[in-house]
Amino acid sequence: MDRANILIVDDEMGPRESLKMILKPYFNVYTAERGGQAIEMANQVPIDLVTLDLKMPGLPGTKVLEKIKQRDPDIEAIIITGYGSMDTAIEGLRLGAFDYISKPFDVQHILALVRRALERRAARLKLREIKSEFLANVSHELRTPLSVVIGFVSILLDQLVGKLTDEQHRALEKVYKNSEELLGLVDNVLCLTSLNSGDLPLMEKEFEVGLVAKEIAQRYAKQLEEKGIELAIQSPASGVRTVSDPAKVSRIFHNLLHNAVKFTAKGQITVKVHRSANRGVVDLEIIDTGVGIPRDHIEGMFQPFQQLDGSMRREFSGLGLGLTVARRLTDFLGGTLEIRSQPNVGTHVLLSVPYRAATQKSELSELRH
Amino acid sequence: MAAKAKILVVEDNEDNRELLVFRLQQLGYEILVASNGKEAIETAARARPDLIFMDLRMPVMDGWEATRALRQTDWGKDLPVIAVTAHAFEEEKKSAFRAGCNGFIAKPILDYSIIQKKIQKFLG
Repeated sequence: MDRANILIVDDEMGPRESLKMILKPYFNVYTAERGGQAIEMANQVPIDLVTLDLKMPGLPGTKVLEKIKQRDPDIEAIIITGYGSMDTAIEGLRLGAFDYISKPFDVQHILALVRRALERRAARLKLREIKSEFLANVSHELRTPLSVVIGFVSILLDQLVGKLTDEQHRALEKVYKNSEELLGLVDNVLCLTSLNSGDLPLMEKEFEVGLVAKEIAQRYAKQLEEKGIELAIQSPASGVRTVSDPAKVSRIFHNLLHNAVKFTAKGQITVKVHRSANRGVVDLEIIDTGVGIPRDHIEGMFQPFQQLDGSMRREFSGLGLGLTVARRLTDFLGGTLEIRSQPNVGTHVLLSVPYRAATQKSELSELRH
Repeated sequence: MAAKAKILVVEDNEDNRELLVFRLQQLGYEILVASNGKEAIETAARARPDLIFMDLRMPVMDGWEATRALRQTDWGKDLPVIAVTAHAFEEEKKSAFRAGCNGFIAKPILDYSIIQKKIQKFLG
């Protein structure tokens, strides 16, 4: 195994340097004097373990621990306590630290502790890898037969092997629509699972948000026509370019639009795409004239498997995963998702996704003109 | 397009292979098939296709390995290879490009005009 990367966080030079001396022969050692500095460092170097003095000026040690664990829950932490202050040590353990050790340290003790913590990390990383490989296989095995179904139905629907009667056409449309629905469910379940296991990668690139919205809306054209609902997409002709993760933005939007279509029986759905330069985000609004959600239920809708009427001889089928996945992916991209709704009037969803500094510059110059 | 372009479809799942072959024949291409990476390299060496659609997860030799191997040959180093996979995760896309693929399509293909666009991008 490669040498592990260890970050020592301590505001006092004495303990910091002595720890460094102890660990340096065996590990790559980095040091930070303040919490903020520690977090910055953990963002730059793949840290395996931190030793953390919880009593520091500035950002409190417990906050540092929380931030680091948020970044990677499998980074191990060893709490360094000063004058036998058990309270903070226990607080640290509660936050997921591996163990604590009191100053002054015993060299053999701390080395043994660090090695055990690193062993636990290695085991957890291995488990994560197995989980992610398993998920990849499940995804592949579920999607392959589905893609065969969708593919052959579309060959029939495109009348490439013969003319269809109206009734045959209608039946095949239903097979197609439901297969697509199933595909959406499979993708949402897998997406949520990989979000939970923490191995969803961020794949940023530049793309046009309006185009993504149009592509997805296109998939609902048939359904909207059948329901007699009008869909209008308002997006500037010049396009709304941004740098984010297009696949994730597209999944979020897909889930939101799916709900709008599903829960709207009549009226219209309006999609607005625009930049909000002052907030540094691209906004995607979806406004429907559907059943709506009572105010006190909105927060609950973000919980997995929730629908408004869980008991119902339910009017609406589905797992209730769409909004959960949308919210979690939005958090993942550093964005926000707001829902305003009024029962029987409609729902207004506002998705804001930040664009990165690269495009922010051109945005600012646009503002000055 | 002047001459009929030759396209090699590499896919282990027979049904999926048939599906893609059908669509490509509709578009007027000449089609070759292989059911794993090893067969793909043998067929490509012999028949020299203009473009390859390459499934990634396959027995015997997977699409990543086959693409890497192609890149080692004189005739295959610039051959357009489009990865096709039923995989929903994006790491797969990244790893396909790392292996030397030039394009990527996710199965199921919901919009078949994408195929035509991808081919045109490489074959003009």
